[in-house]
Amino acid sequence: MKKILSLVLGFIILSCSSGSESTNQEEYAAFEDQSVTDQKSSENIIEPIAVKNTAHFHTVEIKRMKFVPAELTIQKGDTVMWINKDFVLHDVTEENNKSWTSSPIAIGRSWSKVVTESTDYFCSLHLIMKGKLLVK
Amino acid sequence: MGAIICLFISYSVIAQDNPKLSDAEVASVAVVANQIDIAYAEIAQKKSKNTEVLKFAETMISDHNAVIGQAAALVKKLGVTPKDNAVSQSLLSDAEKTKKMLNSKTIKSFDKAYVDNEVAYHKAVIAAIEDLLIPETDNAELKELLTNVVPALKPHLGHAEMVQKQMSK
Repeated sequence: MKKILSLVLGFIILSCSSGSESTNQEEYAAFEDQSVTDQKSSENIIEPIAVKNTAHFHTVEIKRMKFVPAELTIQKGDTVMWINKDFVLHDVTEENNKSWTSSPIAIGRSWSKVVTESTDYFCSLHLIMKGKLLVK
Repeated sequence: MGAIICLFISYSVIAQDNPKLSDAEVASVAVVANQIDIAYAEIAQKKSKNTEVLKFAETMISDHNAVIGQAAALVKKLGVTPKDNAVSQSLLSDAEKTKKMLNSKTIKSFDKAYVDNEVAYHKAVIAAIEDLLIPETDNAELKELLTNVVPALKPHLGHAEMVQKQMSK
């Protein structure tokens, strides 16, 4: 399994590093592209999950062990989507009562939730990763 | 405490005895350092009954395997074969002692020993990557990989310190 994984990753790193320049931002983009390609190579159909922000739909990206943005102000009933753009698994879990959790989000995958109240959340796999949703 | 001393010894070995590592040797150190933390976590899975410790160990196995996957892919791409060297040897021999120490703990005293060691080990590894491996690496992509691993290791350290704090209450 590890061998297959490294083959897949090897292919991916090859295929996405050709154009990469050397600023930090762009270097990390290689990791992001990679997770997307990972899906494609295993399933052949899934398009990259795009960041989408409209009046009632918001995206939080998970990258480099951080929720970006870490704090988000929304309206009651808005949908929030989290995309895992890191190279490890993460989840999104309500912090105070553990009243809901996304369960682990695979690399390159997303998870969405309709949010009705202000919430502190964290990644239960990496306790120091925290985020906040503020419902206006 | 013994483990902490071991780590400082191994870190000083890294710092003093090896003025220059080749990229193939840096790759070997990177893989070995991750394998060691996985081995510690596997001992925790066998010995611990503490939910927080078990969850932390699970994250260590998953994340360090992901880093190894990245490193394996890169060395394959670069056509480099990770090369055994004095630093990886010293990490491994210290890890053998630490594993013995962890395995010898009673269930009651295991959790603290494991988590204390995780705090010390992550501190040592972060310092070694930042101060030694990154400066020693010539290949830009290997340097980039090591640079990207540090932001993943720091939350591990923070996580271990949180569990450590919870246990001391």
